[in-house]
Amino acid sequence: MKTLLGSFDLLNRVTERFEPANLFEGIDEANLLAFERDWRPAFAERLPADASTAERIAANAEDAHWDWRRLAEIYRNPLLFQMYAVECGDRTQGLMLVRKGGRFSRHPDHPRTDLVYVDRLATAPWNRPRFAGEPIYKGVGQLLLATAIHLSMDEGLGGRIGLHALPNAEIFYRDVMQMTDFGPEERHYGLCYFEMSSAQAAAFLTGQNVEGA
Amino acid sequence: MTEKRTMTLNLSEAEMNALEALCARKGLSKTTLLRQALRLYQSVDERLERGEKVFFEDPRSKDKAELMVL
Repeated sequence: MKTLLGSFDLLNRVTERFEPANLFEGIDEANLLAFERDWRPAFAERLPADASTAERIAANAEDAHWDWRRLAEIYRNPLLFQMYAVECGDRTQGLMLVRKGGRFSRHPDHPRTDLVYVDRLATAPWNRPRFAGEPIYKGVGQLLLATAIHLSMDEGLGGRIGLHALPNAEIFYRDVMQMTDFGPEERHYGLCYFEMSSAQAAAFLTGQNVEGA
Repeated sequence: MTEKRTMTLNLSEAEMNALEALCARKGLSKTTLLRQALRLYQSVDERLERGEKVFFEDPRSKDKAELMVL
């Protein structure tokens, strides 16, 4: 089921104006078709089908192989998983898949406590610096992560979230979101694990930074 | 947001003590802890239904112990 959670402003970098974007809990066929008809061709135009990992990293498209329709099929248990979509300008601008249970904090503030795990998060290819010559909307990732923090709070998990970052996104999670970097993990393809503690989540939502992030 | 429904739960003193101790240790409310426990139980049950086995692994010895579910 797809439910409108609210309307939020995204900065259009091209026009330098803010535009209203709708945030949805749950995704529908329109979002999956948007992924297949808009996102995939954009990736295909920029990258060869057999692009190497290095080529995908250089193009800021490490997730080009993710199949959101398949993910929606596999992770359809609503008790455990939830998907979100951001729509703006009649297009799907971002997608996120989160897991609501079975993942535990490593943060020294609250080790082994439950958290919301952000399994996948992606902004549309035309919004990405280094992928698009003139990236369009700014703030899609931040809006989706704020949604994960709010979900964690609604679930009684104190705003705690965790995720494994693709290399191009590490700076965003570390420097913009002020999450704690626990370093690379071999069993997760060498991706760095990041976590936002309850204190960091509260600081993020009030617009403050926390020391030691 | 998903609509919530309320239920009454009858627990023995020992069960309530265990629930409260876990809540205190995890910093979770009883509702949140039971919701997370339900998710974990369902997730494990789904894997067992598919014929999979669930193990705990000792990080040092790498010894595996199969999780027994009632």
